[in-house]
Amino acid sequence: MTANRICQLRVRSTALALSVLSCIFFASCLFIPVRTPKTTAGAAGPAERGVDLTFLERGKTTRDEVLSKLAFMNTGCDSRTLFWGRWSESQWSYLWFAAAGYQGTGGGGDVWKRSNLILEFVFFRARTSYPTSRPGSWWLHRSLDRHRSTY
Amino acid sequence: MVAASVPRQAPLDLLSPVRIDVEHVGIDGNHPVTMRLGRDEVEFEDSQRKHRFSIDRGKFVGITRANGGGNDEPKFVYETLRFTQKTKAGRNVVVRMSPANLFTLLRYLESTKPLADTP
Repeated sequence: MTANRICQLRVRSTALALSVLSCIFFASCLFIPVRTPKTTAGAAGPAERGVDLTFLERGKTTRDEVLSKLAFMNTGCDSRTLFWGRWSESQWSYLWFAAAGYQGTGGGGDVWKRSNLILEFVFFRARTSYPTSRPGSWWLHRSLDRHRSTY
Repeated sequence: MVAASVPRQAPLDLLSPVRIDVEHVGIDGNHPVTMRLGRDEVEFEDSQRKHRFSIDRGKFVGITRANGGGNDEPKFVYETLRFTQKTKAGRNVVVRMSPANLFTLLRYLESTKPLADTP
């Protein structure tokens, strides 16, 4: 290796070391994710106990049950055959900080995930062995769609 | 060109125009807008009266989802109203509205769809 080549390598190494040191001492950027208690916001208000959809059963769950248990996510669509629920959940927050020289700035926020639930109902009047039939009600027919973060 | 299809619903009663309140999303912020959905035309009237227009129903061709807002606002949706003719608010108008009003708008488009589009 010639003396010229050794000199070039030393200059490059020194420049690299100076760049790294200047990045460390004169400019910095931090991003910190923070786990937080689960927060759920529905279209009609906050959910106190999170989202529980385990009670939904096709042919068993009535529209009234859905309206009362999922009231917080009800978007208020005026339809007897359709329920559109919509909510956002957050389990993470973040903090960020950026600095250069003697100046710096920072901030933070929550990371939200948005979801939709669309249910369709049919009117069903249950017959009994008596001549009269039971009062009818709207029953869960099928879950049309449940897609996350698409709306 | 509809952002979301809804199951077949009872058609809207359009004997008198259906009124919905939305917000026009512009570069200078959001402005309240009243839309009147009539059988033959759509009226769009913003609070600043800068973007007031009415257009034939046939030139209102659909709605598509628009980017906007944070995921922490489940009570609002952002949509782009698509027109075939340039209006005072443009050919594509971004609005923020409640899901219930989007549902009404989708029912309106379904109710007043030209016969040729009906399957």
